[in-house]
Amino acid sequence: MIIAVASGKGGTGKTTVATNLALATAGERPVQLLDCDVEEPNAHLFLRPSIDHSVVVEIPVPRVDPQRCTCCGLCADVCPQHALSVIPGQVLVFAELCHGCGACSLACPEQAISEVGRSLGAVEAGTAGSISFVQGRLNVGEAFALPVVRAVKKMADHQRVVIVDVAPGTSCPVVQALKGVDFCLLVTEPTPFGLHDLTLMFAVVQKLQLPAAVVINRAGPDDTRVQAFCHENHLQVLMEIPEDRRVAEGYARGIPLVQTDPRWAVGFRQLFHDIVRLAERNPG
Amino acid sequence: MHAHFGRAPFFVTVNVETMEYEAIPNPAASSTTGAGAQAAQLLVRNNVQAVAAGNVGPHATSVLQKAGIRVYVAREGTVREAVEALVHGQLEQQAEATMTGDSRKRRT
Repeated sequence: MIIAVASGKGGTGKTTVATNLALATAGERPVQLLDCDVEEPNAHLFLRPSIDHSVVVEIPVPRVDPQRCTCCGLCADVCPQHALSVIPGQVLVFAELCHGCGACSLACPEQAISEVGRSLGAVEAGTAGSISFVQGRLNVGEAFALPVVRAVKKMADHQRVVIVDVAPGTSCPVVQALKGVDFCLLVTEPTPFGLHDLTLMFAVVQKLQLPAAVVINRAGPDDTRVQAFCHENHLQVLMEIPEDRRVAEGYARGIPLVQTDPRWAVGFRQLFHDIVRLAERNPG
Repeated sequence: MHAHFGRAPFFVTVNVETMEYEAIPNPAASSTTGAGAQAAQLLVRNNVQAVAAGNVGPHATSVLQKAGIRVYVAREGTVREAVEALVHGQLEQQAEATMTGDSRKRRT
């Protein structure tokens, strides 16, 4: 079973929920955590895994042989990313725009284009106690996250309960992280921003036809609009984590909730059972 | 004048001796990526010798410079005013990109 933890808005507590869910469930079932927030992987701060191997993620980008190239311009015409520009006597390659589709080398009538690897980031794997741990790490300054997310997802161990920590937002890397999961847990906070991005994320999971439910973090009595939205849209709120200084203090020290108070271990185990129940009732 | 070279809906090519002109639609205006480089390539194919534009990004600057096309900064006014300023040597020539392209922004 694969459970994604997503939010739309950043900083609502995705990693808190994903890591605590992993730790609580690991007492009952074999668990794997995939940190797909490759621009800022941070689950390691709470799980403190030992990383035992790392693989570079590359995409193939074109290299033009000027001896063979006739500057016919076909490569630039077929490139959907406009990563090649042909000017008299020269082909300019903007490798950072290339998505590695290979169309240019197929189109070249002179076989002047070969493909060379360009590093986007790395996939790092290891263990945290009994938890199998994998994270993607995008190179600093790199904009193209999708292949790194895809590489992390490929490491999914289907013998385990897989928990995917998804990036914030609703863009391509998020959709890629949600592909093929069985259930999506939406973490939000009771603020106008939390509600706004929950609304966007709910639209995404509906489009992907994923069963979903909500966890409200920093819950308090003041703002009930998130609850009202969930009620209207038949989204179950499976857990509320209260606005509590002790929770924040533990977080700031990198101590998971389930270790600060054993009641949270019970709560997160219950959360897992609720997810299984909902996922079986509404298969995606 | 459009503020962003690669995203300009049209380019006007002008023969500065006769002031004959032609408007060329920019197919790259709504490209998701690489608009500047694609637009620059269009102008290379149209054999222009100089470009006056608002802001020109790094890819477009690279293509235009490698093709030997001079780039001038003209951020406001009409096309006619920009051409006249260029002819009278009143436009500043641009050596480097004056902005970063859309493709460097985080995709959200």
